[in-house]
Amino acid sequence: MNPISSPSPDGHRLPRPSTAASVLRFIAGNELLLVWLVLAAAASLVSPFFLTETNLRNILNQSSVLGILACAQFLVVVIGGFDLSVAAVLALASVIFATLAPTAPLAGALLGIAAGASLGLLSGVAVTLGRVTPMIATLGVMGIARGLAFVVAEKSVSVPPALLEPFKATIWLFSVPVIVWLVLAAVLAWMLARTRFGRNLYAIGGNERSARLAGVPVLKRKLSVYALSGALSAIAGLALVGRTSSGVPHVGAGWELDSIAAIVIGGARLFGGEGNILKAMMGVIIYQTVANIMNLVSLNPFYQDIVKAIVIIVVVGVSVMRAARQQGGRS
Amino acid sequence: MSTLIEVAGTRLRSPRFWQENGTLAVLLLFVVFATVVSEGVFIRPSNLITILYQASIVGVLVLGQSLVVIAGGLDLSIVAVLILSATVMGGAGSEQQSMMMLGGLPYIGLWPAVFAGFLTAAFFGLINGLMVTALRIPAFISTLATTLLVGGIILVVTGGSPIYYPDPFFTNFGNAKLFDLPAPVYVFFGLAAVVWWLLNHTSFGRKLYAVGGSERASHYSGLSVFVMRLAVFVLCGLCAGLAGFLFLSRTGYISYASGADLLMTTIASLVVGGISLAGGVGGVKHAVSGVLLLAALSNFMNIMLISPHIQDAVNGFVILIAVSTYSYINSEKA
Repeated sequence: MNPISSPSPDGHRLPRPSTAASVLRFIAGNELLLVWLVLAAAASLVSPFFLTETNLRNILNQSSVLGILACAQFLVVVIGGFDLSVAAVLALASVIFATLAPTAPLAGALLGIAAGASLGLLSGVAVTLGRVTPMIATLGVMGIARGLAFVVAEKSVSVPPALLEPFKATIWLFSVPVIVWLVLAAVLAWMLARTRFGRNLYAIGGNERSARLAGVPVLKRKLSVYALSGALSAIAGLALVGRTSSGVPHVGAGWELDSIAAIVIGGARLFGGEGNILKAMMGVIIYQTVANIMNLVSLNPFYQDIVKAIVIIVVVGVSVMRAARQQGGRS
Repeated sequence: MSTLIEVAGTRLRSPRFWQENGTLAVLLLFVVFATVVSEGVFIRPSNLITILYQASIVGVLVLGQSLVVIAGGLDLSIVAVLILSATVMGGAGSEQQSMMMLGGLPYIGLWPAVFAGFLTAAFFGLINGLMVTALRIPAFISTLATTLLVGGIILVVTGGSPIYYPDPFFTNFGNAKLFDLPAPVYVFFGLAAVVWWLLNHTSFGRKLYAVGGSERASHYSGLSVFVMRLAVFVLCGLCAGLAGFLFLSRTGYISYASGADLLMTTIASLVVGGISLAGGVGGVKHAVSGVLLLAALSNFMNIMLISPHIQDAVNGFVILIAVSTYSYINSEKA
């Protein structure tokens, strides 16, 4: 079936990838796995502790919160935006949940997610109706979310451990936050690949004007993506409370950048329209493995920031140069 | 008489007029509003001096940032650079402080330390500029990465402990007054005059607007976009260094966590002043009026005993509303 010669009535469904393409994609996915295996081999040489069950569980646990944030960031990056408010929204949701957990845990969780979604929607409204560039709009929302987080709780709020029992359950390597993360990523992967909503996002990121002319409801899609990003960031905040037993208003400074770096390691194109969310999640794991290795060799945490900065510069720099070369080749 | 009113009327209806003077008008309205609501406390000369004093550090940062933004970039690392250069000035410039530091900054004397502080600031400006021009990494990502990098360096240098005992010169300078106005206020307005001259009366300034307006057109008309971009990032770094000097003078203290709200305030001041983050638009009048409006707003909230955390949220809202409004005005013009 040739989708070009037989346009479907809705006119904007993309062709299903062929078998050859999916095989190629599988190999490309393994390229990241290869990177991880090399890292793991190197780490095992340096530290015998690396390949223990405890440590692998640690890496996954550490990846879970950043992973959910990266899901949020990924959706926005696919449509050609950025969301700098993800970490501040995470902090806000964490304090809302932690404050309400002793009296009404479910209401606290829902309220946290609702707050995240509303702030995300606010970014979306500013970007679309207000015509503010995504970076500035989400920077403004970052300030709002961070301010509100401090209004809800001036200092860290700890949650009685008994309440968080259900979060502490683990199945082999997988704790509850990790399972939540993997399930969310799988659902989003399905949505992005198989639903009209998901394909629309790639169309908007690829070329917004063409997408609009082809009948994609750009405004509605953008609003939903930003709201979804806010809600996912809030869920990351809940996962953080589950992991650390406290809501912290100042938590996550710099995580918005980590989330961007992680998905770029996973091969997402920085200016929208391209990327595979599962690979982006692999990027998160690689990113956290590097952090874990730095901990294992007990590198001074002060130097770890410097190493991280250099990793971000190199990774994003390479990605930008590759994108520029591709564009140069096309035109 | 009637023609005068007509002329005034057409000017008031023109979007260009509001783009040029909107912030000033809002500032005046706000002063009236704040004076009435605070029952006169706001307009007291001592309070107005406080506002100017508080505005001076943000003002210096905004002036530096406005150069970068007019040229079409953005520097998110200014606060980190401010802290690092103040750390160098305070740490290496005081024997007592340098002996107390865990990380180790050697004592090199007051003036060499001040010089080294400015050099550090210029150096990281250069790094930002190189990442943006040579590597073509988007400005906000490269400068956020610089923030991380500089933050790490601050921790390594100080061992995580704050600077408590800078040379007494700093606090003496911060408290020095001429005609009741503290010295940092003169620094702010002095820098504003220099930047105004740079933007309006030099070829560098004119080229800056060209580069920000259209990078490609500037490139084809023979401007060295590379050098211009590099230069503005270095100048912005130097302004961050100067702001670090003022910060140390005002508080006699600097730590890794200092000035957490400065970045938001800086960007809010810029956009409230009407400097488009798309580049090519804006000037010193916009920068200064934006700074004063936000400083007045924050001072008013302090008088009304509103929590500083709510102020962060208010700054966020102000950014969204200001940018939306200006993009609306600009689309009217077109």
